[in-house]
Amino acid sequence: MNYELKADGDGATVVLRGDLTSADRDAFETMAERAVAANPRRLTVDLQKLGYMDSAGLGMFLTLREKAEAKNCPVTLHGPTGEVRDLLLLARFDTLFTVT
Amino acid sequence: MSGQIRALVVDDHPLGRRLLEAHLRVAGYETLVAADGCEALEILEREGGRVDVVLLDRRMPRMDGIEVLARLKKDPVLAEIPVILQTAADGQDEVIEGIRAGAYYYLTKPFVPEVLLSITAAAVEDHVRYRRLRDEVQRQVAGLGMLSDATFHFRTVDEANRLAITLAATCPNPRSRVIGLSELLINAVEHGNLGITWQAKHELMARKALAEEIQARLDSTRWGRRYARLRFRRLADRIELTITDQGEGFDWRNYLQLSPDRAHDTHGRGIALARALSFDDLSYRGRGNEVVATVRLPETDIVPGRPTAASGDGMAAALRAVLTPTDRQTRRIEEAHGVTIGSMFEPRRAVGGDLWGLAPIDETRFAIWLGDMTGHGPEAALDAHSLHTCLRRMPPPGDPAEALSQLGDALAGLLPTGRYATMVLGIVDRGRDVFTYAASAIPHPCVIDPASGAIRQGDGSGVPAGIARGIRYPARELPFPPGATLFLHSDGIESIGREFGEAVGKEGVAAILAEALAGTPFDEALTRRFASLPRPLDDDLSAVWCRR
Repeated sequence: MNYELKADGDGATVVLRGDLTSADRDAFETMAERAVAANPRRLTVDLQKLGYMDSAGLGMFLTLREKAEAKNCPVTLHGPTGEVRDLLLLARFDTLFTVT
Repeated sequence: MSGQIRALVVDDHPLGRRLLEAHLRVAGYETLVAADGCEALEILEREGGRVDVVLLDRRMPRMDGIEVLARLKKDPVLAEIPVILQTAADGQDEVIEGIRAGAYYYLTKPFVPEVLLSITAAAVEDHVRYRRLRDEVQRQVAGLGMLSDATFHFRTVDEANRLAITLAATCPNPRSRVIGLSELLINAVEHGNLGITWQAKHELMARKALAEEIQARLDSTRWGRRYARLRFRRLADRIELTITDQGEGFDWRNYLQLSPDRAHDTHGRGIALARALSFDDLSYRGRGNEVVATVRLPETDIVPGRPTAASGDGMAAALRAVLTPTDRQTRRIEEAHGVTIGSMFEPRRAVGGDLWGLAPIDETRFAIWLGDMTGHGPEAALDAHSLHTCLRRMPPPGDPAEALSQLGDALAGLLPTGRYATMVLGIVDRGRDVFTYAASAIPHPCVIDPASGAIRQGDGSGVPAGIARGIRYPARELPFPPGATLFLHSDGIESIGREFGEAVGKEGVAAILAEALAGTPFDEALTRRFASLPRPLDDDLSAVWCRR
C-alpha cells in the first residue's frame, strides 16, 4: 500500500493505492497518526485506487476510526470497488462508517 | 557409514563360503565367516551391531538357517541386521518359510555374482537407511504426544523421511514404526506423485540413477508440483495415519506380503515390511493412492490429559487441539444425529486464529460454529483461545443470533481495537430440516443438496464480532434437508494462493462446491485444489462440513 494525504478545506483526504494487507499495519498506523495530527473536521478515505484488502485491513480502518473519533472527526470511506467493496459489505462497514 | 561394510557369510560348504567371500571382498566388503548356525550365532553375539549384513545358507547341519533367523529375531539388536537367505533354485517353499521367519532378502544358489552384489548392496543400503531413521527417531523429543489431529503435506523424499521421524516419535515403539512409515511416505513420493513404476525403479537402481531421476522429476513441471498428504489422527484406542498421493494408484494387493516370486528383487518389499514390522493394520483404499496405517495404543497410552513436555511444537499442537473438537466429541454428535462431520484445518504457521466446534443441544439439534480471528500466528491463536473460552462458558445456544450478540459483547471487552472475530454460529435442526445461524463477516455458509441439484448460499455478512459492544446480529436460515451437506469456511480459503499469483478466490470455492454437488467428497475436492500449492500456505485454510 502507499498513500497520499491531502488537505481538503477544513477536512483531509487520504488516497490509498495498491493492496492493504497485514504487512501494511505499521505504515497504516503512521498514516492514521499523520491524518488526524492537524485536527481535521472530517476525514475521507479514498478507496477508488485500492485494488485489494484482506480482513486485516478492516481492523486498520477501525483503528483509524477510533483515532479520528477521539478528535471528533467523522470518517467517510469513499469509492470502494471490486473485492474491497465486497469485503466492506460483508463486514457491514456501511453500518459503522459513512460509505459513499 | 564409517569404515568398511561387514558381511557375515554362513555356509557349511567350504567352497560356497569361499566363493561368496571372494566376491564380497573384491566389491570392498569386510567378511566374517561361519561354518554353521551355531558358529554364526556366536559371532553375532560377540560382534552384535557391528555386522551390517548376514548371508545365511538355508540348509546346514547342527542349526539350520531358519533356526538362526528365529534366534536373531528374538534379540532386539540382532533382529535389525538384514539377512539374505540363500535358497536352492527350486526352493519356493524355503522362501515362504523364510518370509514367515522374517527374512526379506533372497539369493538363489548357485548365485550369479551381479545378483549377489546387487541384493547385498540393497540390503545394506536399506539397513543403513533404517538405522539412521531409528537413531533419529530416538533423538526426537517426545513433545508431540498431545498431537491429536493434523495434516501434513510433503513433496520430496527428504521431507518424507523427516515427517516419518517426527510422527513415529509420537507413537509407541517409534523405532519399529519409523521404518514402515518412511517406506509408505517414500512410496507416495516415488511411485505415487513422481510416477516411477516398479519396473522403472528396478532399471534405475541397476544403473545407480534413481536419485538423479527423482530429482529430475521433482524439478519438472509435470511431476514436481504434486504434493502428498498425511493426516494424523489420534483416536481413543489407536493412531491412524492416512497417506494420500496424487498418482495413478497401483494394484496394492500384490505388495501386502512379500511374495516368493519377488523375494529375489532388490526392491519392492517396503509395504510388506511396513505391514509386518511397523503397523497393526495397513489397508489401501480406492485405486491405491491412499493407505491407512494403524497403530494401536497400549492401555497406558489411552489415558487422556497426561502431562507432556511443553516444547514449542507441542504447545502449538496443544493449542490447536483445544480449538477444534476432539474425535470423541465429533463422534458423539455424529452418532446422536446420524450425520457425518469432516473438517480441513491447515494454519499458515504452526498455529492460526481459526477454530471450529460442536455442542449438543437436544435430540434433534446441535450447535456448530466456525470462527476466524484477525491475523495469523500465535497472537491470533491466543485471541482464538479467548473466543473458544467465551463459547465454552456460554450455555448451548438455543438462539444463535442472541449467542453471537453476547459473544461479540464479551469479545469487545477482551480484544483491543482492530482485533475481532469473523464467524458463523448456527444450529442444525433436524426436526425442521434447517440450519439457523448468525454470522459476522464470514463467507456465506452454504448447503449443497444433490437431491434437488441446488447449492443454496446463505448470508455471512455482519459486523465483525468484538469490535464494539451492543451490536445485535439477526438470525438467518437455510433449508437443510436429509442428504444435503452444510459447508462452512473462513475467508482464508479464498485468499490462499494470492502470494503465488493464483488466489483460489470465490471462483475456486464455487468450483469445489460444484464438485461436491457432483458427488466428490469435500475432503478430496479440497485436497485436490490445495495440494499443488507451495507450503506453507499464505493464509489459514479452514473448512467444516456436515452431511445429513
